[in-house]
Amino acid sequence: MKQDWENIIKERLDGDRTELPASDWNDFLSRKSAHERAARRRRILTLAIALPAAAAVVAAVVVTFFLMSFDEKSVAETEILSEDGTGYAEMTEVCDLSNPADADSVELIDDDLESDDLDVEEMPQFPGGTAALLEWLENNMQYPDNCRKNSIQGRVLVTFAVETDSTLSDIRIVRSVSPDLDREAIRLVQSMPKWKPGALRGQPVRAQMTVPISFRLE
Amino acid sequence: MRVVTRRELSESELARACAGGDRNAQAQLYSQYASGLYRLCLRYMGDAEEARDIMHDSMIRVFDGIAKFRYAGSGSLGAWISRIGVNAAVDSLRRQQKIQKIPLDRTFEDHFPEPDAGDVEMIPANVLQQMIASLPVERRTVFNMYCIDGFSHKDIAKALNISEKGSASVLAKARAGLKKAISDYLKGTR
Repeated sequence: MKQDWENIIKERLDGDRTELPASDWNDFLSRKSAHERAARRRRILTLAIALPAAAAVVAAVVVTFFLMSFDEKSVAETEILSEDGTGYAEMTEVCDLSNPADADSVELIDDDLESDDLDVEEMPQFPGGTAALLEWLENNMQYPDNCRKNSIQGRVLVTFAVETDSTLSDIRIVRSVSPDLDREAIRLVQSMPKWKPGALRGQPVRAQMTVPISFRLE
Repeated sequence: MRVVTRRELSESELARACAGGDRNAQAQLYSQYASGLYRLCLRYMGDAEEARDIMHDSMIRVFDGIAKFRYAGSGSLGAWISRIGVNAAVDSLRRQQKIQKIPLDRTFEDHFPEPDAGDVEMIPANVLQQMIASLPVERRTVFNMYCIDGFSHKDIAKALNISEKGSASVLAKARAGLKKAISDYLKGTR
């Protein structure tokens, strides 16, 4: 049975009209579009896994770039922003690191654009390549104390743009694990050494990278 | 510039328009329900940033699932949205392993008298929010679900994967904690 005073608490709380900041609707919209993008990515992933190489050739560009995570399966997403900054091509890379053949070539599947529009020559690169990125992350990660204490772990997906001048911008969390791990992931990205910008038809282009950062406790 | 004034949609119209992907309707639904949903999330999460996160997640679930919503009279949309909010908050707390196995504690006794309803009425809403937020997480969750959001012990037991007895026992502790907080607060203001 509920007590009188508890009903009063409920009434008082129902009567509370604390409003959200005005910026909230926009924050929500960007969150929602990240969610929709992720949902689309999951669909492409299913497709990529379901269809063998023969079908993938139609829409796929093969590049010698891959990103690893500490897990056995790795997914990295790359967006090439077009020169005028309006449109972008979105691609999903799938590689299974337990399969050494996958380490050499990864198929990119274009979701939005005709494959002719995509002439990817070079993805942005971490100095020393992906192995160096993994090592760097491992060496520079400061596992938040309270997450260690509460054994909070998981994989944070961070997205950022690599500008043509090598600076990183627009750093955002795509998949969150906990506020502290998210903060650490953002701090790691902010303190990374300079990336080599991506290139399209020989010209440096701004490209969006999404990197999974795994927080694992022993 | 052409200014288009739109009539506010009624609850059932609003749900139908949102299901049809109407952007304006979605914005209207958001402006009507987001703040309330945020306050609900705040009660569960106890942290403003996390609450906003969970609120956004819930709103995404709302828009994803609104085609499945069945209008059942005035207030049913709000109730449906609140359910989604509670589920999202509880999911998140469980995922973060903040809610774990709750031990049954039979030796527990509550010595605090029932607070006077009139006194409680004098306490500002944000202070009450704070009192609830300060309860240990599983007590807070059960109190919120049972006393504020109208879940039964049976529903709570199912949602939290505990026994009904466990839910009742946690509720008793949450009540004791709140009574203490209320009596401390009233002492401080006298």
